[in-house]
Amino acid sequence: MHCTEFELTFGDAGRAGLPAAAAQHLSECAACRNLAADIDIIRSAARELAIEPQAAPARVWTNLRAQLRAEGIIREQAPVSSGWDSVLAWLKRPYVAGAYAAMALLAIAVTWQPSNGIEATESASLAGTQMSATQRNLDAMEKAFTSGAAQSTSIVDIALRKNLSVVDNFIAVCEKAVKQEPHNEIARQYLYGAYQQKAELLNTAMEHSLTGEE
Amino acid sequence: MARTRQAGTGELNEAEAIRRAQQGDEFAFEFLYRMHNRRVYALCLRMVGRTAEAEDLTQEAFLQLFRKIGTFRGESAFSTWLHRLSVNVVLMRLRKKQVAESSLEETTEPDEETGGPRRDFGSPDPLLTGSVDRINLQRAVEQLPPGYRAVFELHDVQGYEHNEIADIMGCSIGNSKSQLHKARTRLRELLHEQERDRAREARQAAKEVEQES
Repeated sequence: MHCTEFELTFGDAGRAGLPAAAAQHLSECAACRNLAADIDIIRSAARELAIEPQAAPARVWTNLRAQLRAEGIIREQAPVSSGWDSVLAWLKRPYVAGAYAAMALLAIAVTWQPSNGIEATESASLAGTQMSATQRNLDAMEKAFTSGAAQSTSIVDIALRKNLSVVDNFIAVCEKAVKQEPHNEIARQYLYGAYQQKAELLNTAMEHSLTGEE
Repeated sequence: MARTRQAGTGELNEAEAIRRAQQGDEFAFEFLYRMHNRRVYALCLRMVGRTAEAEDLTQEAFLQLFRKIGTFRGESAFSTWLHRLSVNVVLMRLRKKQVAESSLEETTEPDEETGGPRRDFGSPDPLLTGSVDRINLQRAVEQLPPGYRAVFELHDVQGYEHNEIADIMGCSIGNSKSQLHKARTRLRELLHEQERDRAREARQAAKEVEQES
């Protein structure tokens, strides 16, 4: 075997896979032994150049996403993927949206008397103790309502109880979202809004039970 | 690498993410990016050596990928397709840079003795034993032509097999082997040149000390 042939064979097979003729040449040719030894050294040093795969900095995705949006490659918002998304999905359901809108209108048009407990948390986030305090206020209001007009069969009371149930469901969804994403300010605002709606609804219900209006 | 991820409404896997990305779904793009960005970024970082440039190239590779994702039909693995794109993006950058740098070097840094580009000929190559460290090798790798460098990086540094490199580079396995051998041989020459430079500098320094005394 000639040196050129050996080089090609060695480049192809490496030291471990050398055929007998190439191994024979290696034992006889000093130049090829040097070549093989040098390549072994290079291969060994090359392994030290390897770096552990690491995530690209967050700005790469931020820039990429902006570019994709600018080019119209991203065409729609992400599908439901988190607790917060489930709040949005819940709001999109037509009957819920209708009920929610109806409650809002009811609260604004009939009896806007927010409780002091709710007002106190209006500008603050609803995390931790504030959330618990709000829940306690609402529970007290609900208890007062259920001990009074809850058994009434009047159309208004039935509608109020139905709306209360809808708001309770919405609160449950919002609470779940806030638990999953406690720092999501928008989720907390929605939860606060849900609590506020419930307070307004209970105020309305209790006022109605006191005045006895149909 | 995990190919699925909990996605709120159920498991999202790579195939589903590709399908949704083809419809312009942002979450799917992000899913694919998060799944593959580590290897792409590592490849870019190894090939160019500078984080800012590696970030730029990673972004460029994914941008090209997502621009073309509508054409992906699954004939090859998605990761192979992405790595091929990434290597191409990096090679294009290196080739542009090489043209700019080599023309600059040739006009501004002539060899002291000949007046032409710096080059050493003649002396027989001694064994490299003990003289190759990370820094020397890295310096030599940076001088390789982009094609050699890519194959060397993929095979000897990152541990890809020749069949994988052939897929990524769009060449035959034989071509990958041949390129690798040429890359190693060229590296050997460059490392010997480095040794000769160091020896020459040592002799020069010794001569200066002798003259001063």
